Amino acid sequence: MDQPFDQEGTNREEHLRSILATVPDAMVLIDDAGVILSFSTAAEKMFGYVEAEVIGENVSMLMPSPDRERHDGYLKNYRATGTRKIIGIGRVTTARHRDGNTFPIELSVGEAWVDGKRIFTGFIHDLTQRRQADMRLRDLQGELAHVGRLSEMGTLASSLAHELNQPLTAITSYCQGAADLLDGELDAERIGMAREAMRETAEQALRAGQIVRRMRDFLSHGETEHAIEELSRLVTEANALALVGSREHGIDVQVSLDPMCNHVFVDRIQIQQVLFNLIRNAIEAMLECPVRALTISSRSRPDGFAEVSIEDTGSGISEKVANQLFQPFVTTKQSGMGIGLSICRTIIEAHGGRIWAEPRADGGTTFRFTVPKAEVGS
Amino acid sequence: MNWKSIRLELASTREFPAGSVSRAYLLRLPLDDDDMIDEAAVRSNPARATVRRHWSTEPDEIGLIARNGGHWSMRCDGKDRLLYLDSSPIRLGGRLSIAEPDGEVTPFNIASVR
Repeated sequence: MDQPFDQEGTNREEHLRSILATVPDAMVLIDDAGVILSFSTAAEKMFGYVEAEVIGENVSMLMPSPDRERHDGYLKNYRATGTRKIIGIGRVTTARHRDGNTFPIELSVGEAWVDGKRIFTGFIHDLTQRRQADMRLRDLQGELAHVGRLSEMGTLASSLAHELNQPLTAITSYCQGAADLLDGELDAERIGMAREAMRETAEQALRAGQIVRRMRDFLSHGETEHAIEELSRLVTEANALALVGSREHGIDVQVSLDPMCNHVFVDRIQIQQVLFNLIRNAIEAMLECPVRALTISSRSRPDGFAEVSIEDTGSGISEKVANQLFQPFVTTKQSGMGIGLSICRTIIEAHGGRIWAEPRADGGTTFRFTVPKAEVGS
Repeated sequence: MNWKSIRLELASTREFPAGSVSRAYLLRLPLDDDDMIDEAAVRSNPARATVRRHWSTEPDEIGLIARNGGHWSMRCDGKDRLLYLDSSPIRLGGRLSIAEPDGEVTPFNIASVR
């Protein structure tokens, strides 16, 4: 009597298997402790392992640090709180191939209960596969941003010039007037007038300062939204995006973040823009070098800031360029505008932080920036 | 000189009778024509001889490989591990052992040489 049911069940399972075998996305099934239960054919191809090798292993083996050592904690946290941070949401992150290289992926996770046990299904889409389409899209976006920034900067420059001209003209005439007054015979009246002129000069100089500050506030506060963010997430996402298209260059990426400063108070998009720019620069600086190691790390500083470092093993920066690194329109690239780092500096300074570069002892460069830590109650 | 990327995976131990692919070292070393480590090449470019340790749920470690006191040693995050090659070449399918800082010696399979 049961046989038709069993047969139907087997057919359905066969059918499901045949569908899954053709899906280009990798599928990895884990239990609620993170142990791998099933590893699809696409996953075998994507990660370089055979299913039999990885069954029973912790799924964190497919991730680079810091997710690797934190994944057990993520699962534990979900079991304890039920707060969904990825299930049903999905996110862009990095995965690691058996050969050690990391690559950008889009990860979606589903949850199911089977025979009273909770299982999670991860669908992994390799973003390097979408490279060509993405690169074209990125080029396009890059061009748009380029044009946008140029016109923004043009507008900014002309309005700054216009607004600053008035106090500067006033300062010049007050100073000349005061100098003329002091040239002649000095009586109480002349000294009083000269003093008045100097006072006016100081006031106009303050006004000029206010204009500059207002302009910077306008630029930095335009669309910013500061919130408590996890530095690990900002780094992972920016790193994944920056790595798009660089898999063939075999770049060793090492991420080691200090858990003491994981929470920062920042504008997420802006800080990711900074990270993206710095990581892209680091990758480009290493393309011609035999050793291509990129290290992203953080440390908690006693002054209330988190310090993030991006180190490369590239050819380093010439002394001539180093002095004006963060000035706009300084570039060493064939096709660069030289405003990437100046934008980074604007963003970091608007956060109250600092950005600087240091040469590494064995070649290459370390870029460091600071952003305010966020106090998070436990 | 021929710089290679060598992956070592944990071989059968009492704790892991079937070995473990999630416990691995990635070495970058120059090999000579006999697949032995080219000591002169390491000496002339020490920063290039790197090791990465990818160990299940533990944080990644990164370090350098150097010739110390007649042994090849790997220094990651201040911890020294010795590489026992028994003067055998580094070839796919071969084996070697690593001595942990606490002295425990663990066997590894050479899973790839690229």
